[in-house]
Amino acid sequence: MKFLALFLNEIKESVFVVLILWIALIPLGWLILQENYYYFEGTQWGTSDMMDEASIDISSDSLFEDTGMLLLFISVSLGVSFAIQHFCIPSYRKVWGFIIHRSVTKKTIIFMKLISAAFLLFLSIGGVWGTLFIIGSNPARYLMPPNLLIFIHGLFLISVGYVAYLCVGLSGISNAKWYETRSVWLLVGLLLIIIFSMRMTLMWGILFLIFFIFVLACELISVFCSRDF
Amino acid sequence: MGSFSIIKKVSQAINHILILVVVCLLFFSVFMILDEIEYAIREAFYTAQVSVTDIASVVESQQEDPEPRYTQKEILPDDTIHLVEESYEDDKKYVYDVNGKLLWEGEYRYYEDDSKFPYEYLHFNVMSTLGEGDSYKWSSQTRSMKIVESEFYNTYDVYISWDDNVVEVWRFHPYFGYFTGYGEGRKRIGYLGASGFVESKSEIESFGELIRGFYSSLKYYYSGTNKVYEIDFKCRTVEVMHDFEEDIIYAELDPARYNRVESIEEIKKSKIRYRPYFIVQTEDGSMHIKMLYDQAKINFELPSKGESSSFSMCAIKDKIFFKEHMRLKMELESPSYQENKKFYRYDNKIVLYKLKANGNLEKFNEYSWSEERSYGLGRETDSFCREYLSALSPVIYPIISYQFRDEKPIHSYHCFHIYTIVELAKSTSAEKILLNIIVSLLLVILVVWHSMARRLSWSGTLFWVVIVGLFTLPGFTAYLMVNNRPVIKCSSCGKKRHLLKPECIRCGAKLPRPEGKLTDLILA
Repeated sequence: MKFLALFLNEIKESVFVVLILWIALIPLGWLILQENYYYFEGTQWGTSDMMDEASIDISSDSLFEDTGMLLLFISVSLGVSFAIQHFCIPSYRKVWGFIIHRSVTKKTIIFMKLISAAFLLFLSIGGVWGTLFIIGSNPARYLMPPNLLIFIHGLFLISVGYVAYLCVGLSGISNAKWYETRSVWLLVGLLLIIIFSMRMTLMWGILFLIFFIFVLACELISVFCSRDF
Repeated sequence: MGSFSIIKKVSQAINHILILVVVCLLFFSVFMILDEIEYAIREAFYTAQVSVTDIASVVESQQEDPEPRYTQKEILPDDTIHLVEESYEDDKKYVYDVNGKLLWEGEYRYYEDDSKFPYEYLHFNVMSTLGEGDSYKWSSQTRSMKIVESEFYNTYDVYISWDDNVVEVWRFHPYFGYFTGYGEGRKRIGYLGASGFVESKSEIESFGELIRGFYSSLKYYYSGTNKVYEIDFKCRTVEVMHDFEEDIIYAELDPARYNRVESIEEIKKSKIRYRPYFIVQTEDGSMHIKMLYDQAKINFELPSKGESSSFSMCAIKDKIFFKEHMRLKMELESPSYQENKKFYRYDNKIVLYKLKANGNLEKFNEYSWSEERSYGLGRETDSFCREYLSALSPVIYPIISYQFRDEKPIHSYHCFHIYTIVELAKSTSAEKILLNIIVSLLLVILVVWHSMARRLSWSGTLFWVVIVGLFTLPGFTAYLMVNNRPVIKCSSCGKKRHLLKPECIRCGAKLPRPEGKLTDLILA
């Protein structure tokens, strides 16, 4: 119950961000879909009687073309902002003492933060992404639906924002000086984002992502639980 | 609890390696910046040293020996070689024969229509990866994500349309290696795989990994690891065009430019009728050509190829041409007034062959010429950074550089990340390896000395000794970032100890506790 209460409190504090994102991103996504609609504009399904006179054309264009970078940018920005809210602001305001000295363990607090951040990230951008994907799959409007792997790829990019969250979180709660490991965690985050932005297969990308999220989360939990606030 | 402790330690070690990677990248950046600064200083120093007399001698020398004019070597369909010079100074074009006799001279602007030009030369398709012996498999390009290029998952939809009506759409699934066909209203009509058209998914046979795909206005050519398929979407047929035992290392459809809409007008104007063909080279070096209109197949071997050769090819109505361009580079002695430059002479030779139907290559023409070029001295020459600062770079880099010593094209690496690591290692690899090893050993000794008072465990110390031994200065910097804990003097043994463990790491004595106060009981 205590965990749930803390979790709902985090959601309540961040619900404003989620709403703003929904309000801003749904029209933006709609505009992108409209922009990419031109390729299929005026093209309709015909009949196979015309096969002899038909010409073939190959397209690797997607309805969600050029949205990958935007999605990555928004998810990373959101991950960083959640990390600042969860770890840097309490350190700056020196309210860790108040947060920790409740009748809950440090582990409960850190797990709650990690879970709520993941939930908020997927609720905000994941929700928008899912909505746009459903719109893009409408057979009445678009000739061919986007590939399901594009949707999974989008979720992968949203998860990269969680890596940014963990790295900024590690930097935020670190006791080290800025020239020791404190700022290095930010560089580690940047490095991982670059690695995930490079060419690799989706399967390897997901495996790497899970691995690094696990490793960074372990470190964050370990540092948080061993640190004196 | 034990397993959690192990997971914690392993994740900590991985995080330390991540920090090490970041420090290696920082070292690379600093190294490159210092190298750039040193180069700029050296250039400025040299410029300041050039006296007025030197400049005069340079001018005089340039007057005596003008820069050689750049000419293109073009081939006419009747096998004649022309030397074409485009002068941007007076917007003129000059055509010479191989003996230097001027054949044509006229106004020419590259951005204007050149219909006045009396010759039409052959367009050769340069075979960029040909003969390098490296497979251009790059971990299945179509399966790759391309986030940097802001494109999503690379899928292909083949639209078969008539007058704005889409009759069928065939969607390629990179993971599964087959096409799924959709008819009107997205109704699934069947699948196209290696075994041809099937209606049920259970009967489908995968094409295998797609290495390269080409599409002409009629058909799609699917080049796999050792097979090439010809897919006709209209007739829903699949034919195996080539089936080799060896892996395919090069495949090309030519002329590929026929697919571009903007070049249709250009093609219509052209008097030369090119024959489209599909060319494949296998790992054993043999070449296989299939002419697409008359279905003729020719197998042949390339002439012995030096490292500095490149090949190009074109096929017209009754001939198939091969052009070999050999280029030998020779360093020349720099003149005294241009010691900051390196001079080279390039001995070039073009050899033209005709490919016969039986696979023989018949040499019919050749042309040789030499040219001299000068380049600014590379940053690697006499550079302090390259010679001495590189001794601080990781010891592991020369090993990586040695392993990947042969210049390979980017696509021959199975993974882009490996290519990045190799290039990074090559660019900062130590010039003086012995000095590099000595520095590494000194830093290892320093780590052992530094960690004596600060160690948490012997395994941790060993981990950092190995890291510093392999990564020299970046390893040592990462070690200091993670382990530079403050130390105090132990009240029991008098030696240095850190505060992360309640017991002294040397004598096991507990940390001294402050003396009790009268108010402690109340506050507790």
